[in-house]
Amino acid sequence: MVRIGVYICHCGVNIANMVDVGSVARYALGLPHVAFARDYLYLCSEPGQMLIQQDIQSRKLNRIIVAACSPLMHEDTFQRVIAQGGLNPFLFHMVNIREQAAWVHEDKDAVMEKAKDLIRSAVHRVVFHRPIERKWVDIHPEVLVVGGGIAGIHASLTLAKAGKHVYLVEREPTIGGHMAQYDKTFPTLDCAACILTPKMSMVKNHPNISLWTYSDILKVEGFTGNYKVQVRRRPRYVQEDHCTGCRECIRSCTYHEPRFPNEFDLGLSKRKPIYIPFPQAVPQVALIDDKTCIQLKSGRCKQPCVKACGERKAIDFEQKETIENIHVGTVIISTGFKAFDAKRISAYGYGIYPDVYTALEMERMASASGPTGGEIVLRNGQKPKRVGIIHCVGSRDVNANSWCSRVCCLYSLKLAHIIKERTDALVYNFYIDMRTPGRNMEEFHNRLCREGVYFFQGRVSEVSFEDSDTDSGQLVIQAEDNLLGRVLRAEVDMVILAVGMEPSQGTQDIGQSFHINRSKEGFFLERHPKLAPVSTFADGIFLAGCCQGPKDIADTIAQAGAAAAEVLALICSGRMELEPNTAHVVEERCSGCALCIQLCPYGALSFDPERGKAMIEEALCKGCGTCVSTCRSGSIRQSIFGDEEIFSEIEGLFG
Amino acid sequence: MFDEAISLSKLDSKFLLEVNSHRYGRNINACFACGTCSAGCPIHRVYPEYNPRRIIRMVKLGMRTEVLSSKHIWYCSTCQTCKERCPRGVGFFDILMVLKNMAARDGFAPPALIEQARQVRQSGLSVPIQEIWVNKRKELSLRPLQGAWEKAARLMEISQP
Amino acid sequence: MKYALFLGCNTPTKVFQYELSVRWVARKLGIELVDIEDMVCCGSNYANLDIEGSLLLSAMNLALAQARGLNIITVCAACTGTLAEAVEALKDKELRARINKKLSAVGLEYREGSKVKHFSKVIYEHIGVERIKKEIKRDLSKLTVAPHYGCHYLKPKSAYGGFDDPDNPQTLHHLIAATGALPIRYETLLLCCGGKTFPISQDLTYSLIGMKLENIRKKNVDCLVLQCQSCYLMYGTQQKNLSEKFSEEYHIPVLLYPQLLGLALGGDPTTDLGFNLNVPSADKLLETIEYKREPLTFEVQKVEKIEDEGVKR
Repeated sequence: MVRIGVYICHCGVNIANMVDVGSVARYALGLPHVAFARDYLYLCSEPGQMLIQQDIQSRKLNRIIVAACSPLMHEDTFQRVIAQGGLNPFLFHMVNIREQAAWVHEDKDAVMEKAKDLIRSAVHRVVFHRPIERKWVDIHPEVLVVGGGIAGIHASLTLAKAGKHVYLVEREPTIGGHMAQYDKTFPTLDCAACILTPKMSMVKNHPNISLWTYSDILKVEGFTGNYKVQVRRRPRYVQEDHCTGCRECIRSCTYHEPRFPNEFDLGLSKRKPIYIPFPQAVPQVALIDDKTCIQLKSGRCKQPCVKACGERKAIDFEQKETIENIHVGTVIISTGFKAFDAKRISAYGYGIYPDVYTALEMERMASASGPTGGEIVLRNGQKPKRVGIIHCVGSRDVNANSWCSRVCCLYSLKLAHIIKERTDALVYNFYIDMRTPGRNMEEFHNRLCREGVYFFQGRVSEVSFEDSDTDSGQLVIQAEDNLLGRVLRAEVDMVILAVGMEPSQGTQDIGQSFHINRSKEGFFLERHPKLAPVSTFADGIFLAGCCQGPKDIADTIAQAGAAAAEVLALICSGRMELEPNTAHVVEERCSGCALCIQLCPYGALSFDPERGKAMIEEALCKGCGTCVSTCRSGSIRQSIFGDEEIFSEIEGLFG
Repeated sequence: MFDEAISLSKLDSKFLLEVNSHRYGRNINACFACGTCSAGCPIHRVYPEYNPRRIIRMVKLGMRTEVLSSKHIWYCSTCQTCKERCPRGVGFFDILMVLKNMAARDGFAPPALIEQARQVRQSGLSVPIQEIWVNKRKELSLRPLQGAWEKAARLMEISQP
Repeated sequence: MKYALFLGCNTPTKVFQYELSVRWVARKLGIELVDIEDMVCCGSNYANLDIEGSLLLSAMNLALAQARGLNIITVCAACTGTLAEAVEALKDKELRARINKKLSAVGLEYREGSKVKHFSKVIYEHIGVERIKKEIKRDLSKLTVAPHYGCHYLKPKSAYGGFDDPDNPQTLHHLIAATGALPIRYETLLLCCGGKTFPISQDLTYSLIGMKLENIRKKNVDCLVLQCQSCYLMYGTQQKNLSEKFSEEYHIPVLLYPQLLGLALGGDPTTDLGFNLNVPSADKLLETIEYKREPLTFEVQKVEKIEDEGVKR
């Protein structure tokens, strides 16, 4: 027998000055199934809560209605209260007579009637509420970090320090990401490698981190707290635990001279088929490229590398890829960014004129471990006399990417500084706006102004080539000097394009594998831009770094720390509560049409071909209700907001 | 009488709305004055007083009289570089077309264009029918040019702006 | 391959050699050009005074071609731009209805789906560089040529469905190379001829024409090759005036592309391609490729000078 208790809150004067709460309580008593009704000054307060708890026992109430403020404010509060009073928290309904009545209308009589209508409909509905058991899953304590750039490195180290075991999976043969390619970092002008490589070393040496480089994510199954991930480890043809990084194999390779474009140097230098990507690579292990190695392509090499390796026997041409299956509870995605492809803006001459470079290529050139050992030179080997840096290439542009990439103005200033430091060149920066927010960044801008760099406010229209009478010709940057209102042609030897950031290659695949959303720009979508920047809509999967949006190194590390903290919060609590309002399939009614399967945004629905029925994995279900409303035969039901509840509520509303 | 400052309240704030409401001027508000249009403009390059970025600025501020009575707005060579390279999709070329239409309606238009338009309304061709080319075509055995004289005239009549 | 030929206003009345060579080349390559008698001005300059009036004129031409079930080939770059953009604008239902209401007064209707292509585009896409190479009858390999694309041939990109790249164009270079001549890249390749500014301010336009010719003169080419009669009226017809005005000597022959193509395909420069009508004279060019021809039998056309007019009320 249903016995409802109805509690009407004064909420001080917030509700009471518009609603005669006493008479509403008396009205409620007259409604069907209502065993008890009263009003109270502040139901959410300690005494108010005690009141409800005691009544549940003493009056044998098995349904509770609270008519007060918004459920978003206090539904959790009252659910806890009645749970402590011994009643299932879902045998409860909250009616909002504050934000939906007292606060928003001026006619007192109408407000009274509305309050009564709302309570009446709640009374009709709550009869059909069923007790629901809260479910919990254990969180497996191991963590997967996808992407070994600075974000992944920092997150892994933080978690390892906390005593958790981390699998750090990186696609490239070395960790370090883009930061390893930079020369200096703004605004301090620290050497990037100097601040990064110690951390890379720590990753390699930490007993709690399983570092898997040259590896990809193949498949992800499972749900929060229990992910089963398949990782493919690609063959280096060199055994990691035997190789000492001595480089004898590289020195003795059949190719006496390096012949193939070095990917780490963006093609500005060459490498041999057997190589180590850059001097401080971690792991310090050689790898062989099967597309260019003679032995791997045709089997007909004398294999001087094997001979040079000698006793260590690290080289293994028979090595195959291996598939590892791991079990983790939480995941941090830190897959970083890729630079905008400057070829897409042909007006700027990239790929057409040899001395037009992207900023990343310039970083390699400026780096001491790069193709020129840190010398800034043109293709012909000479030092440039005039250098133009073009901001916003591929950014803030409807014909390319609409967003601002946040770091380009700052790194353009940095490159201007480096060029002035190492050459006698005049440097021209062309910008739309100068964007230097953050700690010490405006001071950095100020410093560059004082270093004598020429700044032009004016977006560059084109880069062309002009024959000159004296030397071999000049690149010409054409822009309007906004401040003078005249077309300006800057004759330069070298042009540097400040390219923006885009989501890295493979972002779509990772998103699909882990079922995480991406924004319309293609970066992974955070749960809330202000309040939850490192969480995704999938519990247990977090983001860190530029894969969530362009940012500098400081913010990347901050996010990595935040993601690690969120992971630790989950792991330390040991278990996670599942969504109570899950959907389930009433099998007898399921016709097997499979319409619902593709609609689930969380991948909770699957089709069992043998039985011809849809199946819902409860742990993945978030209770969004899409499948419930789509099902043509009404065979999918949800724990709350079932048909009976809703129709009854509607009937109650109309009296 | 001594003050050369621009007084905003004396300008026509409706001018921007007028331009914006036209289909071809619908993106004028997106302009953030980067100057790419002026940078690529061949006319601006040889004649700095003609400045696309500045014209948009003047429209936004509301300098109706200055813009519409200016001879500058007729210099455009229609090369469309401004429209192609604009990072905001503003389409200065289209906006200028709207300004020219408005100027024409206010009575400012170069005689050459007025004459050409009159010619088109009369015969459908933008050049007058002259013996010199009629005969030349005969000489070169090219077919006589037959414009849709009546059709065009009728059409243009019913579409008087 | 059958198209309605849209000549525009200036080609058939001022640049006869363009029409002659287009017709000859089309006949040689099997492109059927249908003359539609009722065609009117594309409305390019009319748009300055009344945008919708200009659309009406364009729509009329499109409708006339559509009535015969044909797409349009243009020879003037500006006409191409105006008509192609009209096709884009008329995709809007409301606008199309408004225009059609007016067109119905003269018994015409425009439905969606017309295609407008510049003659060079048709050659590039439907004939193709390979076929041209096979049909070469005359050796032009001694020629070095400066191409000029014509602004409206390339822009706006949105009206041309991604054909060629306005910032780094290739198609005319390929078409010229197909004839055996060597096309060059030069600094002012993308510079506008200023044709539309000429009636408003001659001086301004001369600055633009001068910049281009100065650049080309330094490159020692045999000729400048164009795809638009408006550009020809600037670079060709005005060259003498330019020379006088700036006391410089420019003697750069100016050809329209179909003339060059026709030359390569074996056409007679005088009787088929109208070389004798070109100013400046292309005689030196013909000598370079060792062509011997009969003496002139008619005069070169004289062109009136247009007065520079300011803006009057």
